[in-house]
Amino acid sequence: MDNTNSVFINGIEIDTEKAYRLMRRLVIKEKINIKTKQYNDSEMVRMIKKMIEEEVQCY
Amino acid sequence: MFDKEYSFRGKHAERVIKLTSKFDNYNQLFARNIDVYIIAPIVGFLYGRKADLDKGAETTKIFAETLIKEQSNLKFNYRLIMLLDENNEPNLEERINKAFRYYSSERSKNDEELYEQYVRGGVDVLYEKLIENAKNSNDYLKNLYDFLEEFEERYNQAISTESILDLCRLARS
Amino acid sequence: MLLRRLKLKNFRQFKGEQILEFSTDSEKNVTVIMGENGSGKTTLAQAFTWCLYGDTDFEDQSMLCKAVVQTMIPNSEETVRVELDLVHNNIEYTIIREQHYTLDLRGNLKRSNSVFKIAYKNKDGQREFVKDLETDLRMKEILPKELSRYFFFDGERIGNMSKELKKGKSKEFAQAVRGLLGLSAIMAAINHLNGKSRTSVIRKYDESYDSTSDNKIAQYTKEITEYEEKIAKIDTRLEEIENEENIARDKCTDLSEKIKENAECEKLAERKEKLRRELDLLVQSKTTNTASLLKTFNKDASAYFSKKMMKDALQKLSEAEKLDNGIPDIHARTIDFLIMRGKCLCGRKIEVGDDAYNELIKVLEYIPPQSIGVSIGQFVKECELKCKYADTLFNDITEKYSLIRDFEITYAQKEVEIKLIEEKIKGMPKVGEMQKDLIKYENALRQLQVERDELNLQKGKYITLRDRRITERNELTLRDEYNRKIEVYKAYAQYMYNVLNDLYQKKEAETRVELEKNVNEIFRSIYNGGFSLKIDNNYNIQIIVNDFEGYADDVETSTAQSISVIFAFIAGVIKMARQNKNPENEMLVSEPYPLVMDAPLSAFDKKRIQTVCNVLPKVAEQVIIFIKDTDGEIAEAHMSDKVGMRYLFDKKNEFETYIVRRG
Repeated sequence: MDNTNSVFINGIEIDTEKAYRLMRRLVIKEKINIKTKQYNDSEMVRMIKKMIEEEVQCY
Repeated sequence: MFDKEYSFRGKHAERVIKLTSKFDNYNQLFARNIDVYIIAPIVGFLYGRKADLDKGAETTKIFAETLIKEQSNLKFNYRLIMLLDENNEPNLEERINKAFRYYSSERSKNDEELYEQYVRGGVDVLYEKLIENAKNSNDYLKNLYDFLEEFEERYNQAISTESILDLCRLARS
Repeated sequence: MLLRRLKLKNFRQFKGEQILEFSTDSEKNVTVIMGENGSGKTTLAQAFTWCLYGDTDFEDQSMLCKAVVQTMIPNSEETVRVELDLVHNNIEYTIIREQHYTLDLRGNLKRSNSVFKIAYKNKDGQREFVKDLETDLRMKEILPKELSRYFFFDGERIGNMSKELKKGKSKEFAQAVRGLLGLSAIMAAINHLNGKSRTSVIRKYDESYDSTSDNKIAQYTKEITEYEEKIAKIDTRLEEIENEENIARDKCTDLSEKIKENAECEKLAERKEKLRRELDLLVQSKTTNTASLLKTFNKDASAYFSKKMMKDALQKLSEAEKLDNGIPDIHARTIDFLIMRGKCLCGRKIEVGDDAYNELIKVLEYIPPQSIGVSIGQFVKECELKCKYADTLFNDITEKYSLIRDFEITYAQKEVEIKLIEEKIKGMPKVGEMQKDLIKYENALRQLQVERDELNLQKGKYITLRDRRITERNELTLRDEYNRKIEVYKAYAQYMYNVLNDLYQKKEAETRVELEKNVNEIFRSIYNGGFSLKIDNNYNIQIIVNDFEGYADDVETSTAQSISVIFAFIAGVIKMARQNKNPENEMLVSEPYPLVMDAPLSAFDKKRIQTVCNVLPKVAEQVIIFIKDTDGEIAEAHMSDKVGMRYLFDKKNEFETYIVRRG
């Protein structure tokens, strides 16, 4: 983790690069979902959680 | 005469009551019965009206003290009537006697009765002119004024040739 | 996209098949459809949206022409159809929507299946149909519903927006901005991350703390949740308060305005009071004067009435030569004494029977007790005295009476004036009541503010307590590996939320400002710079007077103002939508677009109409406007060189209207 990319939220250090990647993916997913209406809100929330957890665990 | 309690009776009493009632919460045409009593005979005489005593039950009176206070006025009016009533007595001397000499004596009984007739007649005239057709409080005052105006025209204004021309002007206007 | 033709079959009051061709000429791009209110303009406008999206706002959902229904026999079927021919992306489309109706045996009208088809002309010029499953998608390409609202503007929407604008708020603006932003994906992400609903990433993480490792964590979580619920409740109430405040504020403004308008009513009421008092004074004066008159009358009436008699009596008495014959203070006793003594007062001898004696005897007649001469003398004096009183009585009374008459005339005049005022006031709402109401609402406002302040205070406390718990819980969870992980995930979610939220707010503000600018440009051209618009971040709209001197005309009705704003708004949105390279609005960029709307021209001041009529065709390449019969001349006067087609509604009766081509 590159220190210059860290930000502290609630006392936890997070990697902003990872965060941005997550955001980009999230926005695309949301956009597709708006068109297709494939997933409802709770499904989307579940998906987002999975995305975050995966990204955090990755190197 | 004019030294004891006096009562109006019957229909004349009713009329006197009306003449002395308030017509607008505050005002009345004649302040007291005596005021009617003072004026009525003059009015009765001038309008040539006499009236007999009415048998009705209603009465309204004037106290002796009140009459006595106004005695000189009453006497004066009595004298006027005696002096001028030619129908009653064509002879002037006799009228003068009735007015001045026989006043309040045994010889005046008929005259006094005549006077009372004029009183009642005058009450009738006053009632007819002032009260009879008054519909609201404004009418009373109007009737009074009209009555005075009629009087002024008839007795107190000089008739001159000018007034004849006035008629033409009136007719054209 | 350009509209070519609308074909109606039995749609609402348009009986049978009726066709409307739209002007697609580039110069004369305006189609005017004239009809009185209630003749079907709004219905026609809704025909578009029904055809394209199956939506209408009709209260009575039945589309089928009632005139047709009346002719149906039981167990028969009728169809409502609307076909819209248009050109999009160089392809000619026909959008068809059909609704079948059956009249059952009992005579009830039942709606049966509906049909939506999109037909187009393929490269070979032949007619093909878009696959049923793909029609929705194709519609989105041609004209997505979210954007359609800016191209179809019916009178009711104009009316609603107008009402909102007068109150200073506009949902339409907010929606437009969001639509123009095209950032709905980001908005969705924000909501999913930490939106107000129970389903959000962060909330889910909060709930998933493993509390077995430490009871305190569970307790803290419980408390945190409780605080958040309380905070949420306060927030809800705060929103309610804001609404209630707005309502109360509206009412206050409304009432204040009305009261100001009715300041005249108050003035009238004051005047009436003043007149009443004057009347009372008059009555008093009249009574006093009447009393005075009557007193005079009673005092001197007797003299007055007897004046003539007195004159006559005096005359008679003088005729009888009785007037001067009395000798004052001589009594009969005096005469007797003189006769007895045989000598007169002057010294002359008196003898019974001689002249002196006869004279003396005659005198007896005139002196008391026999005499009446003195009485007569007194009488004469009294006459003279009374005549004096009598002379003035009539004049006095005349004067007093004319005063009273004057009172009566003045009284009558004032009474008439009072009646007139009462008539006027009857028409006006009661200012007193309004004042009471105003006070009520002002109090309500104050109370709401107090409540709000209290709630904010409480909220602050809860937030502090909650945050403290969160920190405490964090410390605990960090000690536990599982819970620590949750914290991390949460942190990422929070960070993403913050970034996206800030981004969205920023972009929204930018777009809003841009919209404000665009709307103002168009607004200015309608108003020559007299007014401009301000939109704040809560979409509160304010109309500001810029230049008092530049705008010397009469102030317009706020209806006309609102409608100008609406025109400017539509124009602004469309302009921005086309300028945006935003992929969501892509289809708008390259093609011309139509504008179908109700145009309440007569709400405008004559000078505005010219500008509006100029602006409209510039806003969209094709303009289809509905106007009232009575505005027809106005439209002709200002737009005639742009009008390519004219139609007229011919309303036969409540259930039948025909569209007739004009000129």
